Order: sequence, then structure tokens, then C-alpha cells
Amino acid sequence: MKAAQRWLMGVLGAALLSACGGAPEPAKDPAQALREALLSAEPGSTVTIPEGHFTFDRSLSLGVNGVTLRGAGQNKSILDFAGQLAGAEGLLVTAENVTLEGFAVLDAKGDAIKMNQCKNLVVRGVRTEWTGGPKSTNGAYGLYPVQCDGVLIEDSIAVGASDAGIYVGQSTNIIVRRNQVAFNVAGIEIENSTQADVYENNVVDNTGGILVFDLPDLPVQGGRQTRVFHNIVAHNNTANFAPEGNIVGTVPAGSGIMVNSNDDIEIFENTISDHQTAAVLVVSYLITGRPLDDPNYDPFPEQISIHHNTIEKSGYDPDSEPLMALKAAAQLPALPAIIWDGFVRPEQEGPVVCAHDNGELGTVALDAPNGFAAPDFSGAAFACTREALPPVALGGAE
Amino acid sequence: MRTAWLLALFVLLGGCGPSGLVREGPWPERLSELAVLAQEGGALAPRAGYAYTLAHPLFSDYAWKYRTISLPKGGAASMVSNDETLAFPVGTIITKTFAFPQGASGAVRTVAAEPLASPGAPFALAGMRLMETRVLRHTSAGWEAVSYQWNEAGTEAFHAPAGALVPLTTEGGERFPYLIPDKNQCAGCHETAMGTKILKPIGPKPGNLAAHGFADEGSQFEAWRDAGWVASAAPVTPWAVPGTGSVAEAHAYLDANCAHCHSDTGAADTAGLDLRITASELGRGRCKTPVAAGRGSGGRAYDVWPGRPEASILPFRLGHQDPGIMMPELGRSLVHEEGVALVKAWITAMDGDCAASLSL
Repeated sequence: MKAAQRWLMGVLGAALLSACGGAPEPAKDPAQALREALLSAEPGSTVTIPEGHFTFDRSLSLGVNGVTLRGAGQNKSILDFAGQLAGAEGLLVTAENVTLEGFAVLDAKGDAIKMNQCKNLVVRGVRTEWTGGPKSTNGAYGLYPVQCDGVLIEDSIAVGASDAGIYVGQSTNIIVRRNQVAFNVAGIEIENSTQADVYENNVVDNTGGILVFDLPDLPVQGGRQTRVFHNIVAHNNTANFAPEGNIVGTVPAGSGIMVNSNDDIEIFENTISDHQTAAVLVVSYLITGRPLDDPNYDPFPEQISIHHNTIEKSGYDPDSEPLMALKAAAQLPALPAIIWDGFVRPEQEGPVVCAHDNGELGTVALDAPNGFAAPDFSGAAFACTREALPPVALGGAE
Repeated sequence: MRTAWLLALFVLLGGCGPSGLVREGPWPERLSELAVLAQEGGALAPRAGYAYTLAHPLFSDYAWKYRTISLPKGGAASMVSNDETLAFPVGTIITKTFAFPQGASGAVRTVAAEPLASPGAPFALAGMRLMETRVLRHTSAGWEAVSYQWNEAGTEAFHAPAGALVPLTTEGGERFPYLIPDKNQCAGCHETAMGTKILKPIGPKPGNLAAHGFADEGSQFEAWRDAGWVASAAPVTPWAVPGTGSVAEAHAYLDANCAHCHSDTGAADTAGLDLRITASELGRGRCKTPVAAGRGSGGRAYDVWPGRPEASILPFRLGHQDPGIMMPELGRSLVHEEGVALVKAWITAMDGDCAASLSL
């Protein structure tokens, strides 16, 4: 608290001086003062970022438990990393019970805000943005908690990430809600995580809107139990601009909601409109054709439930060679809105994906394991229902 | 009251050994007040303890490094394993001073450091620009780390918990920012088990100390053992002979430069890439697809593609200078050409292949 107050006083003092036409030089470079305030913060204290546009040539970091970093608003307290020379992220948080609130991180060279091994993290009203539009030279992730227990991300904005705007990886107990997410490759991605609720987000103009993935070769696996509901997912048709080699580079443009190899997923009561490839896409990691050496990894999506979504305009120009070929062969103006690749584990009994009450745009099971030989448009593969998943409880933070 | 306090402090410091090293308490503002290094006769020398070297050092923009270690009186380190940092007693102070040989008009020369003659050898400062001295001390509350930044005259270094970026230019005319790490960035590497808030030294692992000693000494590790600094009779195997370009040397290079994060507990355990000397080739990224590499993938499909260094992510990131792409993430701005060549040679010589990759 003390350091933060000192910093604030310095900045206010400087503002006062310039307002009075006095010495134009601030008492202390505000960027350096913020760095020092973060380094010397006491556990449980609040570090304040005043209104203003502050530039940085290297990463900021916060390693003290219980600190609140609070700005004057996501359009008022701007941390600008366009001139960054060192550090793989704008702000790195390596502490528990941290709250980030009311500021923006712009044009970081790598990730905007990375939060590694956190507990009870709250991100509220924060903006991460690459201001030059969607480009492969933008940083990978906007808001990036990884290996965290207890994550609340709300009322935030994520724009322009060359991987995911909001990416929650290898974490558990997660709520992502009421965020505005646009012009990223993946809008919101929940990866190798358990118990996540993603709701009331506005996810538009990304390559893929909301992704729920489980990937191999990671220390935390077995991603399951994610609910995606009450989101507006619209025209996520931006051409994929991920640097090659990344898994999100395989996401076809125009994917509204995509599940890859995750289990126990409930997708309901979303409005999903205008996606050139599919409103909802459920695939196995096996569809990527990538080699699989990880014996602990389960590449099959299971217990997927898709119901009561409002779906409009889908599959009219799929960004995928096999899907384009399928559309041509079936002589359809558009593919069905819900697409499943058809990979099942050999001993699988009963359906993998249930879909009902999603309007008139239909479903298709692709038969990808057999070279797309016998795609099934009948809906038979999806004819089932599942029990609702329980909501995520964060123990008070929500 | 004040006299009594001063007296107590005097006794306390005296109790830590004859040198008056500041082994506990607040960091002094000036490095000289730590009383760990002395500058005399145009050279830097340990006021307490000895200089040491590592066979496989961390690359830091070609800066030359002068390492010293001081154990508390009668204290000895114990051995954890051949490949893990020695467990040093409370009271140990380790320093690492970074300096560049200077060429014409203040440009820094990017050449390999000259070896030290002996553990007592001073570090000659003629023609050198002192940058910083990083200090690790093992207090009763655990290891603490901070850097001291030298003034331009090289006469004193000052406590620099917030770090700095110092603009430098190589003799070849390349301008680069030299990073003096802030306190959290120290922890970024030295908190080798992420989330524990416990810092540890990284360099002094028996296998890295044993490979080579000083010009006129035998094995450095055996010398430490003979001096009673290491209380263990366990045999030690050097990691590799430096300068041979062997596979073992590449493994040692990856450990020294990467394994503080890329282990099963480090900050990069999120990536599932293990670059410790003890890792398997699969752990070291053989045919491993990138997960959260972002731009770091450089359009390459695998971390390590046997026989194909040009198609492998690992040497791509080691050879890059963009902060959003390069590895290590911190602590270098220049490319370590010799290190990249070593890693490429390891991949070139590797047998086998990865599958060509497809997508939907």
C-alpha cells in the first residue's frame, strides 16, 4: 500500500505541477514507479494505476499474494507495450488471490497478461488488445491463466490475439462471463481444464468463437465438465491468422463453438449465427492427423450435449477441404449446423454427441475415420439427451 | 539503547565469520557494503570465499561472468544428486558479476570469456565494462536474490531490485538492450519449483562443476570436496567435455540454459517440455507438437524433428531475438551462435523421423 501511495503521490504531484505550468518533468517516471510498486507491494495491499497512458520497454510482474491491481478503467489506465524490448509477456502474475481490475494491456510482444499457477484469480474489466488488427505477428494470448485453481474472468475485453483472446489452460474451477471477445484466432479457449462455466459472453469476428479442447503431451490432462451457455456467438469468420504449427492454426474459419477431445460438455441456449463452416463442431484430436505418442491421453470427445441453441446461417462456405468436398458431393447450399467427425473409441457403446432442440439446420456425422465415406445426415447419431451439468462454484468470488 | 543495538549487530556480524559479510537483514544500498567482493589493483576478487566456474554456463549476451561463493564458517554443502544443485548451508553467499570486454568507442566485444587461472584468481577489469553483480544469499528465511547495478565508472554497484535495461552496441554495430533482472525476474528463474516461492541457486550442480576446473587445478568439484565444502563421498560424473560438440554437451547446454523453467516443476512445466540433463529425448521435445507456443512455433510442426534442425522449433526460438518468440524468454537479447550450432548438430545427428502432419 505504501509504495502504491508513494507512486500515486508522485504522479499526482507531477500532474499538479504541469497543470500549474511548473516543471514538466514528473518526479518519477510513472512506468518505473508502477514497476517498483508491484515489486514492493505488501501482501493483501492494493496497487493503484491512475488514469493515463504509460509505456513500457520490459515486462511487469507481480509475485505477491493477495494483491489487487486496480486501474481507473479499461479505457483509462493504459499500459502500452508497443516498445517492449524484453520479456515474454506484458504482465506476469505468479501469486495467489490476485485481483486485476480496470486497466488495459496493449500490444505486448508475447502474451498480454499471463497468470501462472494462480489460485482464486479475479480479472474484472481488463482489456487486452493488439491495436493493429488481426495479424500473425500479434502476441499469442490476451488473458492467459494457466495451471490455476479458481479463475473468474468477467466484463473484460480481448482483441487481436494470434492464438486465443481468453485462454484458460490446465486449470480447474473457472468462470468466464460477460466478456467482449473479437478478432482473435480463438475467441475463448478452455483447454485441458475441468469445471468451467462460459456464459453471457459476446464472441464475434474471431476465427473460432469458443473452443473447448483437450490436448496431448501436457502435464494436466483429462479436460472435462465445461458448460457453454447464454453466449452470443456471431460471424466468427475471420481468416485463421495463427502462426503455423499451432493447434489453433487447424481451426477452420467460421467455427462458432468447437469441442476437441474434451468430455462432459454442455452447450445450451446460445445464439450462434453466421458461421461459414459450422455453428458447432465436435472433433477428436485424431482428425488433425498429428502423431499421438502420449499413453495417458484420451483423444475421444465423450458425453457432449448440445441443446436449445438458436442457430442461424451456418456451413455455407466451409473453410476445410473435406467439408467443402462433402458439401459439393451432397449438393447442398450449406452443410448442417452441427458437425461431428465420427471418431469413437472401439469399445464405445451408445452415442457420443447428443443434439436436440437446435432449430432446423440439422446435423451430420462425418465418418472421418473411414475417409468421409458414409456421412450420416439423418440425425440418428445425435438422438439422445443428457442430464444437465452442475454449475461451477467459486467459493464467493462470483 | 542504540549502542547496545550496534553492539549486538557487531556480535552478530562477527559470528558470521571474519569478513563481516551481510548474510542477513535488509540488502545494503551499495555492493561494497555487502563485503563479499573487493576491488583492488584493477581487479575484482572475493573478499570471502572463492571464485568458481561452470563447464556449461548460461548464455547472457556474451557477458563474461565472475562467480564467487562463500560458505559460512565451518559450513558445508550436501549433495542432492549428480545433476541437481548442491544444498548449501544457511549463510552461503553466491555472486555473479557480469562484464563485457570493451572495444573501440565503448562498443562491447562478443567473445567467449577467458578462463580463470585458479579459485583464488581475481577478475582483471582493464578494458572491461562492469554491468551488474547478481547476489544470492541463503538467509535463515531461505534464499534471496537481487542484482546490483554498477555505475558507468565501475567504481560501485547499487541495489537494483527494479532492474534496468541498459542499451549497448556490439563491435559489429548491433544495438541491443542488456537486461538487469528485477527481483521477480530473479525469481522467474531461481524459483525452480514454480509456486513454492522458494529460490535456489541454479548453476552449482556437481555434474556441471566437475567437468572442468581452473587452468592449474584438477576437478573443481573434487577441490571443493577436498576443502570440506561438500560433505559427501558420492561419486560425481561430469556432464560433458566442453567444446567437443557432443550430444552430451548439447544436453548439458540445454540444462544450463533452459532447465530452470523446463522441468517437471518449473515455470514452463505448462509446456510439457523437459530439458533437464536427466530428461529422455521424448521429454526433450522429440516429435512434440507445440501447444501454447504462439508465434514461437515459427510455422514448424515439432519442437525437435530428428535430422531436421531447420524444421524444429527449439533452435528456431534459440536463434530468434523477438521477445514474443525467443527462448530463453529472459536474459538475452543477442543470439548465442555457438549454442544454436551445438543444438542444431545434436538434432542433425539424431536418428528417426516424425510423421508429416495433416489437418482438417
